[in-house]
Amino acid sequence: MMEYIEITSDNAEDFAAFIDEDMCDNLDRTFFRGLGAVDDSGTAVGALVYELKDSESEEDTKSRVRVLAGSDDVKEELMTRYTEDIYDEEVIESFYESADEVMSKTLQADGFSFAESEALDLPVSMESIQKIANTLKVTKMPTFIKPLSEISVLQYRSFVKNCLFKGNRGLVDDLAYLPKNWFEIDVSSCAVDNDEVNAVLLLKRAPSGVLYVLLYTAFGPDAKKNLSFLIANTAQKLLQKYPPDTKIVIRRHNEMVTKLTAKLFAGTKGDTVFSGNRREA
Amino acid sequence: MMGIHQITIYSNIVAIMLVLGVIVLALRFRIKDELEKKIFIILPVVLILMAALYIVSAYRDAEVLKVSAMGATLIETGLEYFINLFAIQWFLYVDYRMFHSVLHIKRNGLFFVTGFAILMLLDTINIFTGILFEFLDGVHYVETPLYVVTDLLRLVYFFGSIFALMYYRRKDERMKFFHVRSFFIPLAFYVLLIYLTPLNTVSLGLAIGITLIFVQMVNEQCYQDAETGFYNGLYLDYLKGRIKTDDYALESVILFKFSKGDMAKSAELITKQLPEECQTVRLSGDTVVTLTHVKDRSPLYMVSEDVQMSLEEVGIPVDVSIELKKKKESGSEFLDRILRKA
Repeated sequence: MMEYIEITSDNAEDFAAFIDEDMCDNLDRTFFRGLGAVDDSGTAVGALVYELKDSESEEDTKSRVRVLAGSDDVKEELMTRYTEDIYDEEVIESFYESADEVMSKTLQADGFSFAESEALDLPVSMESIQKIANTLKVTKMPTFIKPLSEISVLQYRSFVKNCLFKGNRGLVDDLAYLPKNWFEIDVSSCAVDNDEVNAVLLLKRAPSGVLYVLLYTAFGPDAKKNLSFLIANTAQKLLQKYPPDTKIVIRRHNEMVTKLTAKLFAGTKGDTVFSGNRREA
Repeated sequence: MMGIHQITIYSNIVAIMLVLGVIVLALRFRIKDELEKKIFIILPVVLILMAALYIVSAYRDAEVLKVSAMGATLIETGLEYFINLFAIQWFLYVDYRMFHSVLHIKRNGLFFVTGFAILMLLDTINIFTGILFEFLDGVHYVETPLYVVTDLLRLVYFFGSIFALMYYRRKDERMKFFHVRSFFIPLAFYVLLIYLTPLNTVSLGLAIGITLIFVQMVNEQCYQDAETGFYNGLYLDYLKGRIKTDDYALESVILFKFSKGDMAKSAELITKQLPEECQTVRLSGDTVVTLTHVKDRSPLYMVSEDVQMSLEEVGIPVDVSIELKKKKESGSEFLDRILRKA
């Protein structure tokens, strides 16, 4: 007899066979939900992780299925429970994007559409970062460009508020709930004007060692200039701190990032992924 | 003394009187940003010096004041310096008015100043060489083609600043009370007069422009509640019109209700926590509403938590509530609902 439970950071380790360490780390976050299946003996036999989008606004709430693993029966039951859960959350559409073909087929059988394409996630090597550092060579970094570690909690919070009020949150839907130290504070960069942060490039180091670029934004009169300095500073810090085999991932979630990455990392392509969506009741 | 010189003298005297009045009123005028006031006041001060030199040069032109060719050149050079100084100060004022950032001025100061610094250098060289203009005697003025080019450079700067201002005005709510045409229309009119007539009444155009800018500063205050510095009911009426025409996208509000406490102090603490995009209006003695474009609860929660904490620290109790516009509700319907609730 299966039992279906909530997966949190407390019991995520039990589902390590189905959820990788990076995704386990996300289960602590505000909009991530985990559903797990355990058998009679309490052994994990399957897992589903999803992420809610726009759930705190009056806009339509969507859900991204991140992980679906286990035997066919378990996955089917997990999807049934998922559908009930998202009904309570008033989700109007579910979608997925994954390199996992098995998961894709399961979701397709459950009413999701299917498409195969290049992933929005772009893997970037340290070699590319070195090229950027050489191109954007800044002999003396301006003093108003600082690592995230050098700004205070109040400055960070004030920046987050300003950012959210301007509608900029990058890839971090739960930016309002994340402390400064959740990000990679030595490599992430900020621009400070008159004691206020007005530009950032924020990265997160996942447990697997991969660095994810999560927020790259600037506002104010010198926004464009600051953006260039941020890239130069972060590139320098990355090369100083991390070994040559470190992987960095940039998600091309909007046109601006797509154009910038095409320029900075010409010729680099994302992996093939499967994606689709499903309208919910 | 012939008529045109008298007109020049009288127009400059009027300009001086006008901006003297602006200086006196501006010094007594309370404005939130004292640095903005200081930067603004330099404009009329420079204008007075410029107008004074225009008067002297008018007496020289009329041959009432007899000077040598060098003397005439020095007077004219002084005038050129003050025109350039005025232009630099104008750009600094507008830049600060737009961005309230001293760092931005420092970072872009070179850009603003370079063109005019080059002009001033040329003016200085001109004293000894006549490369821009010269006086054949103390009266007859000859300008060289290079002078025409330098004049064009000034025009390029001015037109560039008009476009920059118009661009930022569309993007930035803070600029809504700064109608740049108030400055440029009188200036343009009087500059045209220079090319179409023998009259030189540029100072009067600048003085009128400065006065209108000051009037706008005062006008902005009419929309402000004297005690708290927040906007008042008059501003809310203005905003209702914009919301009705979808010119202002109202998506959410934060409502603050006070039962007691120092409203001025509360306002100071609330303002510190609010991003600049927020428009805060005092609805009544003890109720304040912040209007925002935000569609999401999390930033509103952040602000309300920070406000509550900072007010509690000074012993001011406040009830804070958040409302989001519903999907099928228009901005006007949403605002009406909030005002009924308040």
